[in-house]
Amino acid sequence: MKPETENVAGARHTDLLRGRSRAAKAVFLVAMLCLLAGLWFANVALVKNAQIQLLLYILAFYGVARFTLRR
Amino acid sequence: MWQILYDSGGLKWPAYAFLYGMAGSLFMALSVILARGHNVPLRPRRVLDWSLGFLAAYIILSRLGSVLYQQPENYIEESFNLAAKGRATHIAAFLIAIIFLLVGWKRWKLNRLWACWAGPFLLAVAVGYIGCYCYGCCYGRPAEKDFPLAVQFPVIHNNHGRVVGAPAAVEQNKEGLLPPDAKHGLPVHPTQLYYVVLYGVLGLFVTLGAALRPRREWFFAAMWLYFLVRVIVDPFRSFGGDMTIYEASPLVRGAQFGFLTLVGAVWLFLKVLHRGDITKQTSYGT
Repeated sequence: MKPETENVAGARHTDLLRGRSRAAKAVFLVAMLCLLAGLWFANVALVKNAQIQLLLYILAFYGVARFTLRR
Repeated sequence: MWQILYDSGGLKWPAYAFLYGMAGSLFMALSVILARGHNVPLRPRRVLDWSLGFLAAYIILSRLGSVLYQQPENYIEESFNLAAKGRATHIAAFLIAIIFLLVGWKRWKLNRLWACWAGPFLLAVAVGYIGCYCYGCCYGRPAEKDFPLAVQFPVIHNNHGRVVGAPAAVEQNKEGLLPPDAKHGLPVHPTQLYYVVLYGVLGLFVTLGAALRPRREWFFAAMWLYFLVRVIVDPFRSFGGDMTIYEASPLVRGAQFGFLTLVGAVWLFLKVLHRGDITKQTSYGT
């Protein structure tokens, strides 16, 4: 059972990295940097429109963060 | 929106979208972190959702606002063009904002979230202006002789001999201010860096202040500071060639002070309406 936190509204929540080993956190960090680098090169090579690039960066961060913040 | 400014040694540098993406991500991440410290009565992933919604609303309003700011007479036409010409960010941001409005209309428990957004908003604006500096937009008017902070943006010729790249150089070339073989634009005020410094410092202060006393008035203070910095820096900003934005659009200064008055009035109204420290309240929201 992963450790959870209770906030002032009584909602219990945790996140993906809480309670994990330092190695697991390092793997997650490296994976995220790879994702960012991949997005960078994909944007430069394939996406010519800077506005769509901006949208992709923000939605990629949102997706990863939402996945990381577990209930 | 251009994607490439500095073509240094063959490396394409799509700094503008990247830094604006980082600015948005920084805003969402800081909001989630601060929300935990401020005991916002929402789950962290809900804070993230609301922050994305705020970001979407900000993008729409700032883009529509910039059209109003620069071309008030073409506002209706340009607003239509923003949607009609497939500007994907605005359309997506608009849809996201509508969805969030519909979802959150009756669950407005965000009093403390306003305090969490204030500092990150200013810091994200500062990071965004680094993107503007890399891209070469939002540039200043030509600097006085020997002005130590002046910068020159590169002039890049494409295969047809036309000047492309940084808007600073393109505009100065269009105005006939540059010789045909110029490698650099005229030395101009680095207005983007003025913004970066002012918004960065103010953002840090507001973040710290809101952490010590989490009140939603911080958010309105941040909005007020946002316009205040614009009022201070914009006289150094160019609006094509060596014309300042005020010479180009005499309405602008009046409009800015109008905005300031409006935001200040809303702030005072909410302050009067909402007496007391929200940290001592037991119910959150209205």
